[in-house]
Amino acid sequence: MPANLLDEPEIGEESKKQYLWTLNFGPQHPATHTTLRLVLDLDGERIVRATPYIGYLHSGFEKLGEHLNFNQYVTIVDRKNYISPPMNEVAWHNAVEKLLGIELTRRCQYIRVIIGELSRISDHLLCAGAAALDLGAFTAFLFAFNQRELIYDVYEEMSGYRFHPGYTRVGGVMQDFNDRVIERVRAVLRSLPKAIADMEKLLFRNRIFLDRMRGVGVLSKADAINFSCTGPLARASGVTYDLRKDEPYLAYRDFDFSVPYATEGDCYARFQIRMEEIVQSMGIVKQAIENLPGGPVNVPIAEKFPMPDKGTIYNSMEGLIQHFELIMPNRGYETPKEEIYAAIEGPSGELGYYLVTDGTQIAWRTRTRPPSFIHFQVFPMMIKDHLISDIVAVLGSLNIIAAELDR
Amino acid sequence: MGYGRGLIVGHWVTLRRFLRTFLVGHGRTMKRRGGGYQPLDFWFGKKVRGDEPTIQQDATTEGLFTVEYPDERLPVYERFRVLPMLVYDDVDGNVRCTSCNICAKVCPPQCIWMTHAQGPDGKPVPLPADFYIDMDVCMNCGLCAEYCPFDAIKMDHNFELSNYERHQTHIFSLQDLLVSSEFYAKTHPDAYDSADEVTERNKVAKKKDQRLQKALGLGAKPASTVRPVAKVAAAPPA
Ligand code: SF4
Ligand code: SF4
Repeated sequence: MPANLLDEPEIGEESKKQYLWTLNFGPQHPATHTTLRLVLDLDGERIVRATPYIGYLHSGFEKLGEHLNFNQYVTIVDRKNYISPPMNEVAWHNAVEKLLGIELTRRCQYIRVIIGELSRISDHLLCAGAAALDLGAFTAFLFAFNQRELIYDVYEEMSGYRFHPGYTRVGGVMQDFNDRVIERVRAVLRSLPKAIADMEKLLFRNRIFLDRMRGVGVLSKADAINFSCTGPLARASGVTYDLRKDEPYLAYRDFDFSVPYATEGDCYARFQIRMEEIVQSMGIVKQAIENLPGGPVNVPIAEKFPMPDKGTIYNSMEGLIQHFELIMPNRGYETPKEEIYAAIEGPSGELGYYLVTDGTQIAWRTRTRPPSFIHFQVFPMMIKDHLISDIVAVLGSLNIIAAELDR
Repeated sequence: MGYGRGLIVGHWVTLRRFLRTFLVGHGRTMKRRGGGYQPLDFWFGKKVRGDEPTIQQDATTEGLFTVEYPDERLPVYERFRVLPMLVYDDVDGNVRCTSCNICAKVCPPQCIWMTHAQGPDGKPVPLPADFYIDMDVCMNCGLCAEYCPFDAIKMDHNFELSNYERHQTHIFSLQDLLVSSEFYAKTHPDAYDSADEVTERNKVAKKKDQRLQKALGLGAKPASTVRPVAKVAAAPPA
């Protein structure tokens, strides 16, 4: 269709509208990664309006939080952002510990930093790899996925499960890091630089990749702030906001790292930010694993909330009593009646939990603030006046996880 | 010419990887890196099921790698967790579980249920009469093993659980779940030797044995021959 046909004077406003046609994109389209549905109003191949519909993967995760206690719910938060499960666990127990006022031990803080950064690396690897995959660069994706397998090996060695480790507990972790886990973390650190170099070689000078990423899906700095975007999405638009620096939690004060940012705000900038963050996270993991403090990993049982370890149960009366009190629902500890919000820097942005408690061991309301939910609302604006083929590039760079979006 | 050179280089990379798959030892034949079946084993030395060689593989392993499951396996991580299993002590034959119901309470999807055993006089005995886990519902989270105060329930390593029928076979009863402590020591060497569990065995298990003998009215100690299942069967149904 010639472009100027719409401008012919004899075609009126009404008949112009008829040239728009509607296309359903998803929810089963492979490029939407999971179950996102877009209804596109198209003028030829140009997108006039994109309307996202959400809820296809709604699983009631937040409601489950009203039935399961703080330790049990960790098995559910894993399943929200399934690309980086340990980050969800760290976020969840970060909120719970803020509620209960628990100060973690140094070793536990370091361990949580390590698993959090490893999951950030694996999230960025998948996101950057899948962005390339959607644009036709299959090899880079495989290099990235190979590294994710090594990170899964770390999860499996530390907790026994590859995909949903369920590793953190109130005031500690499930089982301490042993030498084998540390060796596996080192193995990741050893092989990661080569994989990143391979990916950069394959992508940074790949003409097709660059042409389809540069200048596509631009988000201005003002819009990023107005839509409360966080994470790599905001940092690619020039907002240097990173909770690890701005409100340091866990042990992030101890580590030397920088927050990369760009000002272009397009898909390519986001991709580059992710690649650079992998390098920074690698530095953090390296520092943490070299300086891993000794000592106990769980907070002492005098704190009343943590599960005592088996040795304490069998050897001391206090341990036995506390174990009993923790598992008896009618006894248990009392939580403060409070509302708190605590957030950490997740792989794709601020990942927070809003907890309302009524004094029992089970939260009255667990509201999640997932980055995907916030970022998906920017999508219609970003994709406006682009072509259909740009959808995959923009979606890939936003890193929308449907399970986290719909919860 | 340029294309021809690329082809040769590509083939050379493949050939090099193939050659690196094998270590050529001193005076020995070719040996596959990482272990597992050696070149000639595929025709002559095939192992029976359950005795398959494991392949050691890590980030530095070179060569072409295909682990030919189920003829070969990767080693299982010690903390690897699939379904729970119930441990009985080899020494005195007692099921460690006291049917205290803690695991059933803590299980997030609520897939454990059990009944108490009763002694000859109708009094409850700290043993499970039966113990069920719905393996279709279990999400292998390991919370039951963590919360059990008697080290009775532990996570198994057996992941080959597929079946043709799911209504009868996928509800595991006491008989399916029981394993000996020897088996547990073999699959979880580190945990078995850890200070916590040694204490448990020395302290709790001994006391429990005495109490059990009393409750079941068995008198003194023929215990090492009595298998736990026999004990439960001796109790009349409720
Ligand atoms: S397995 Fe452990 S927690 Fe469960 S009923 Fe038996 S003793 Fe209690
Ligand atoms: S592993 Fe988890 S889901 Fe399975 S029986 Fe134990 S507590 Fe329940």
